[in-house]
Amino acid sequence: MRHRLAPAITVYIMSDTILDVVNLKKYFYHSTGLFSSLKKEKSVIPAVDDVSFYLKEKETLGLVGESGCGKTTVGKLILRLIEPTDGKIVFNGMDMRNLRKSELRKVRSQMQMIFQDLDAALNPRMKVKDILKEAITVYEDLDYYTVNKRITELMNQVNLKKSKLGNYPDELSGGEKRRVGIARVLAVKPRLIIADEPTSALDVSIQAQVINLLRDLQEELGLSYLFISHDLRLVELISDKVAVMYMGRIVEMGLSDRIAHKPMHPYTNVLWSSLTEGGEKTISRGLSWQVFDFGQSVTGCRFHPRCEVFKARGNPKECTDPQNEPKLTETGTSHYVACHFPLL
Amino acid sequence: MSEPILKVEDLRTYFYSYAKEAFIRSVDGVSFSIKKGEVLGIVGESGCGKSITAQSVMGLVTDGPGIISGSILLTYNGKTINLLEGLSDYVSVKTRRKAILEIAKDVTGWLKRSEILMRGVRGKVISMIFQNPKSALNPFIPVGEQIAESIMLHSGISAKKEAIGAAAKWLERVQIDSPSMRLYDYPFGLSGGMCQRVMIAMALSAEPALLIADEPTTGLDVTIQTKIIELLKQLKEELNLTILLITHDMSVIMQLADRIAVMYGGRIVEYGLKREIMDSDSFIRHPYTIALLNSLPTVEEIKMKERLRAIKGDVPDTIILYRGCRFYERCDLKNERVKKRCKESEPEMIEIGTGHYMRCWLAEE
Ligand SMILES: Nc1ncnc2c1ncn2[C@@H]1O[C@H](COP(=O)(O)OP(=O)(O)OP(=O)(O)O)[C@@H](O)[C@H]1O
Ligand SMILES: Nc1ncnc2c1ncn2[C@@H]1O[C@H](COP(=O)(O)OP(=O)(O)OP(=O)(O)O)[C@@H](O)[C@H]1O
Ligand code: SF4
Ligand code: SF4
Ligand SMILES: [Mg+2]
Ligand SMILES: [Mg+2]
Repeated sequence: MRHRLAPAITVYIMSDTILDVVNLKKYFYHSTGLFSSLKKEKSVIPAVDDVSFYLKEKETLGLVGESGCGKTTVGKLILRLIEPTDGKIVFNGMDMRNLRKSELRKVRSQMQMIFQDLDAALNPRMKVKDILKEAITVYEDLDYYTVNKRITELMNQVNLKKSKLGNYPDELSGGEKRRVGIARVLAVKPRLIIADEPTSALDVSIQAQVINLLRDLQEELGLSYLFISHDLRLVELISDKVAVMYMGRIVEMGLSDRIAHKPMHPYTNVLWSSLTEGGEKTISRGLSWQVFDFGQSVTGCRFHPRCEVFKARGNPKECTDPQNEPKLTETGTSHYVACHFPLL
Repeated sequence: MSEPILKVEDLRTYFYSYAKEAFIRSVDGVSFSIKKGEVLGIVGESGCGKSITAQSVMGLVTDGPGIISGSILLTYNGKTINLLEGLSDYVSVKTRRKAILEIAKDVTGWLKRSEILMRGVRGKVISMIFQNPKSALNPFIPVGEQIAESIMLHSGISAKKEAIGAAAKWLERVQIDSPSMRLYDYPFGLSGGMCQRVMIAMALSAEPALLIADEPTTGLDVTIQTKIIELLKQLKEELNLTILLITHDMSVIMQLADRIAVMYGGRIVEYGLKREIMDSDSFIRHPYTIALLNSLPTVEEIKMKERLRAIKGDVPDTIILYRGCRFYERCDLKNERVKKRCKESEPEMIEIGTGHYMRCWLAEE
């Protein structure tokens, strides 16, 4: 069984598409009590539920959404760090799920992830220098001189003092770990980078340097990025397109300035309107939100318990109809929204 | 209300680089105090010593030499204790013309002593939200149990069932979905932002007098972040919670902080009320503070997709002993009159307004 998201998307896929994600699904099973693993009482979390998108060469797709909505899971699925429940991932024309070990290794040299967790990719028993050295030489045989030159170059690019080369990860500050993590990914010279909160733990000035660096490298080397972040302003700045996720689904996708300034999905609207002119977050919006409960099943549109449009329209039954969960459909040029009553 | 709950004086926390055979002066003479019920925000460049300052207060610096001097006075239940009491018995520092030649410290001896001083303080009086929650949580114990344990340790509740119930309430307060299910999740089964919220719940559930929050909101989206900030404000009102808040997010500072300390290269360079430091009209501010705030991108720049502005130059290396001002190379505001002094001697903290201090030669003018 194979579903296409919308015919238009297929049309858009051209030879320069580097990543194509089709109907991707990942369900996690969580115990609902201390001993429930024995009783087989489990509840299902559809962390990624039928997600499709594509990414072209030299393009950046921003991925945003509430904490826990499935962003990191999407990233890990693409790299095949976890196995999908269903769906297809095509990287550079190769179906990721059919790759043999040796092929997977080759693909991983072209596709790298900056992990949200600061410690994730840093071996605690290796010095910064060795972490970088390993990343530089893992897919390439280089002589001592070239490796050292490259290490110096990387340290400069992420504005780290060379005196930190002898430190173990435990001896670094949060932002220094973050920058070693970024340097490690750049060292491999990938074509696609999945950047999961790459600017967390960085002050605004170093954040600016990192963003500038990513943009420069994209310009020079034609890199593609899947840019996951809670910093909506950086997302708007760096992305060509933005996908907004809500509880495992993409609810809106389109050009970055459209998403930021003319959103159509009520959730996107809540997200971006919480940023005011000065970049300060207002409190009024988010406050009426209730804690979400996976235990209670939602019928129809997943967003309806929190949707202002739903309330304003007097609880229309389309929104709660279990047979009629809104599908991502094209509403304008490359603009997709999953809502029965999109904002215009 | 007005007596300080925590008073840190001239704190120095050093490390040693074997490769360079030199000291890393991560925290180099930091002083500040926090009044009861107040929020002190610490901002500053990555690597400037914010987390090490916090860990020093918590007695969590284990690498040598670690804390070498200073005092950390904690006042609670009407008595004041120095968390660094007797430190000088364990450390001896050899200097020549201000430069440190040798530090001899009985690190294990001090850590043992520090453990005794911290007993009954850590967790109960001061609790901490760590910068990297995934590593701070125990990977082998369900998160609900971890919170329940902390509740049982620090509050009157001794029945496990009751503690688990209280843990679920805390998970709900920090916006975790379906808390009754999440209680049984291990950290690996949670998203980055969820781990962060679990960490917050755990720190708050001990109902401390002082909360040290190291980047508490980085992994959270705006809506959840807003609610966490509201929760902290509420606890501040209701329980007179005092917070030492470390963050790179200026909007969090704007919403929560009463006072701000700006750190640079292991030192506090500016210290004062939030409105005086953040208000762009206030006419004297430290050149680093100005540069930091200037590198916040404007709405217009974002819209036009412009190149972001960063503070020029390199971050300071705390291995090097600077003679003059640590911000010298990067400072745009030094003028002909002060230039020579900037280069040759380091400015002291000067009071430039009520409770507003700054470490800059310009302040003398
Ligand atoms: N290894 C796992 N086992 C079980 N459940 C998991 C696992 N990894 C993630 N989940 C669940 O999947 C959901 C999505 O998690 P994910 O980490 O993708 O969120 P996220 O969007 O990256 O959130 P954040 O912004 O907080 O990082 C969460 O409900 C989480 O509990
Ligand atoms: N155990 C250690 N050994 C050597 N150097 C260390 C050690 N721990 C920290 N450092 C150094 O001390 C400096 C201050 O670290 P700290 O973690 O306090 O920075 P920070 O201000 O919290 O920065 P960030 O915003 O990046 O988290 C850093 O340059 C770091 O490399
Ligand atoms: S489908 Fe209905 S409930 Fe869902 S987002 Fe649209 S208006 Fe709101
Ligand atoms: S002391 Fe001089 S160099 Fe340092 S911040 Fe002030 S003006 Fe700039
Ligand atoms: Mg994540
Ligand atoms: Mg830190």
